[in-house]
Formats: sequence, structure tokens, C-alpha cells
Amino acid sequence: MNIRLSKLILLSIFLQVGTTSAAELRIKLTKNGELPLANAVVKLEPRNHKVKIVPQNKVIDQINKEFVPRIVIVIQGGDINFPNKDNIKHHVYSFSDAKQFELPLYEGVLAESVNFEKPGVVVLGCNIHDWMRGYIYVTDSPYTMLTNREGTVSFESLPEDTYKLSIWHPGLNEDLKNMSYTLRGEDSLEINRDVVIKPVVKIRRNQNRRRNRYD
Amino acid sequence: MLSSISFRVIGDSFIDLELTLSSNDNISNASDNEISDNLYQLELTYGQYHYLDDGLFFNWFASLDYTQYSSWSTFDHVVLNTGIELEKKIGMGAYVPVVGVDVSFSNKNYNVDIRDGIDTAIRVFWKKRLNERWDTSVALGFSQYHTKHNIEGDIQAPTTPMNTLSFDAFAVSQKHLSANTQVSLNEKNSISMGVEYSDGDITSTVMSSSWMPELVTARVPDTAIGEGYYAYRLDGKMLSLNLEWDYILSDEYTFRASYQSSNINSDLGSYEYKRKKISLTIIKYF
Repeated sequence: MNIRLSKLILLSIFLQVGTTSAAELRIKLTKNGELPLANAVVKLEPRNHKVKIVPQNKVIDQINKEFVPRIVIVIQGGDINFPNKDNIKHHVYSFSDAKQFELPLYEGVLAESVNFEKPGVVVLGCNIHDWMRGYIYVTDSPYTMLTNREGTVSFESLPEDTYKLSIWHPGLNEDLKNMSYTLRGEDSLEINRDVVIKPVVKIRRNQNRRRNRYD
Repeated sequence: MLSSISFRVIGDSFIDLELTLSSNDNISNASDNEISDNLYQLELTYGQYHYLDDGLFFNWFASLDYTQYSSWSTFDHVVLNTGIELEKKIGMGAYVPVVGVDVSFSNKNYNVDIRDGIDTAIRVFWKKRLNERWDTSVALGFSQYHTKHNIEGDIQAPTTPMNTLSFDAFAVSQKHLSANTQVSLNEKNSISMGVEYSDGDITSTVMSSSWMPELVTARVPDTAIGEGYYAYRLDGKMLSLNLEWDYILSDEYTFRASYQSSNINSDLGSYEYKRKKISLTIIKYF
């Protein structure tokens, strides 16, 4: 009986150690071999364990005729509100497969938010100010973060598992979706990755303000 | 359709100040003995964009423009411009075609008033942004320049039988067809290329000995240039090529270098003159 009990206690301790292992994964991204890549979406998908996702609500402002922040991560099922903080009207839309919607001509704060159910990238535009671009990354994994100014992101307390790593950025010039890393126990893994970013070509704000004269 | 449009609009306004230095190799539009000069131009523009509804925009602007010539002060002038524009997006998004019409008026007052007048232009246009880099547009227009003064001065024609000719050599009307494309090379640099074909009246100032009476529809002594020079109006065609390079210095400043080359030919005979203009501009956005 005592031996049985001891075995149970040992098994219990072993399982506890297994489930509370806290691996750490730190990813540092640079662009084109030099500068840190900020505002890149880094997503980890565990292969074996399921994680309950809790949708969160987010806000994307429109300030000085730009979406702020420009890139937002929202957990699948979450809502986003689009307050217009300019003193002019905006007309927000998206044609993306992950979400198609339109918020015609409005000022101030809209009472209703937009729900994002389908994972994927949602590209935002304004039908009045064509240069306005915003991106919503709808994720089905709670292990999804944006890189900071230094181009780094740290995932802590990761359960032992094999993780698929995906990286997304609007200027990314390569497919970075199928990298796998196995983390065991107290592993602390650091990944440095250089990515190719296309030159940013935004629609210009001040072009063609007045060009209707015959000189 | 208009009844369904909400006219409660909130305007998006802009103020631009442009300082330009230009070199024009033929300010008199002459076929020979061309006069070239450098120009300094200061232009202040205020405008508003109004989004009405359903992809419909109403825009207007007013500008004041002062141009000073380095040597030929008789050409110095002030221009008061105003214009309105109605444009409609065909669909939604940044890459749908836009069609529109604009009308502009320019009141020009020269140091020597023989060229004073009011320029009226109307244009219909189609434009489309092909992608984030490329824009293109096509326009069809008509412009008419009404001179302000009846010239009753020295109207002796150098040869006969021109006594029935009008003196309104600077009053011209033209039809225009233009195409333009712009490419953004990167976030700071863009290049714009355009071509414009005009059909209508053209005005050229030459020494009285150089003119061809069978071609002209009006003539007047060009007192802005000097004794012995006459401005002649002819039927003709003009082909202009424009090339511009914009460099964004900051959110508030853009540098622009532009080159314009024009070839003007009379419909009858073989009268031809050319003009080239190179400009450097600093634009301040307020």
C-alpha cells in the first residue's frame, strides 16, 4: 500500500513538473540584414496542446488621417471599434477575405464595433483618404505578439510542445509560415532571423492637390 | 440622384505655398530671335476637399500667383486663380477609376497690360491608380483666353491686305487632350510624365519683317517686347511633353524639378516655334 502510494506521489510530481514546465522563446527580427523589424506579427501554434482562446476587444483610432495603431492583433472572435478622432469624416472599409465590411461616412465614436471571426489578415482603407492603410491580424492562437522597436518578442511560460512559427508583416517579401521548434522543460531558445522587406511605397498624401491648369 | 446626396459636408482644407525658379528659352513664343529669361514665381493656394456622399467629391481652390522676370519686367504678372472640381469614384477603394469635371478661371494682370486677360478652362478627366506606385490620368479640355483691353494703338500692318484683321492677338481658344502618368519610385521620390496635345489658336511675337500674312488671324504691336515687334495669332497645334521629379523633403516640404518642352506648328504653312522650360520648385504644405 505504501509502495503504491509512493508511486502515485512520484507520478503526480512527474506530471506536475511536465505540465508546469516553462519554456521561453525569444525571437529577434531584423530587416534586410540591418535594422530591427518592429511591428511584425509573430505567431506560435502548439502542435499537441490546446489553449483556450479568449477574444479581446481592441480599438483602432483614426488620427491625422492615419490608422493608429497601423497593425493590430485581435484574437479570433474579438471586436474592434474604430473611433474617428479627426475633425473630418472617414469611410472605413475592407475587401479582405478574412473580413469584408464598410463603415460609411462617420465622425466621432461609433456605437457598434466590428467583429472578427475568421483568422487572417484584414487590410483597412478609407474611401476618402486613399493613402490610409491599416492591418488587422486575426489570430486563432493566443501566442501571437507584435515585435517591439528592437524587433524582439518574448514568449514566456510556454508549455512543452512543438510549435509552428509564423511571421507576418505587410512588407514581407517571403513566406515565413512553416518553421517548427520543439521546446522542452525549461528550454530558453533565442531565434535571430533576418527577413527581406520590400521598400515601403505608400500612396502619397499630398499628390495632385491641384493640377488643372493649362500653362 | 442629387436629391439623395447629403450636402452636410466637412471640408478637408489645404494651404500650399510654392516658390519656383524657372528658365524659359522662348518667352515671346517666337520662331526666331527668341527671348529667354529666368522667372521667379511665388504662389499661395488655399483649397478644400468635400466628400459629399457615395464616392462623390467636390473640391475648390483659390490661389494668388506673382511672377517676376529677371530681365523682362514687362512680363511680370499677378494671377488670381480659382477653380472648382466635381469628381466621382466609380466603386470603392483606392484603385477604382475616378471621373470628373473641373472648371478654372484665371485673372492675369501683366506689368504691360497688352496680355491682361481672363483664362477660362473646363476639363473632363478620367484617372486611375493602378497600384501603390502607378497613377494614370487622361483629360479632355477646352480653354479660352479673353483679353481685357481693346488695342487701338498702332495697328498699321506691315503689309496688306490685313486691315480687316482683329487686333486681339492674345485672345485664344484651344482644345486639349492630355495624358499623364506618375510613378512613385520609393517613399520619397516620384516621377510624373505627361503629354498634351492642343488644337486651336496660338500666338507668336516676331519682328514685323518675319511674319507671314497669309497665316495670321489677328495681330497687334507687342509693346511688352518693343518697337517693331508684333504678336500674331495663328491657327495651330501644340504638343507638350512634361517631366517632373518630386522629392519629399519632409511631411511639410517637397522639392520639384520639372522640364517642359513644347512644339508649336501652324496649320497652314510651315510656321513653327519651340519652347523649353526648366523649373525648380519648393512646395510648403501647411
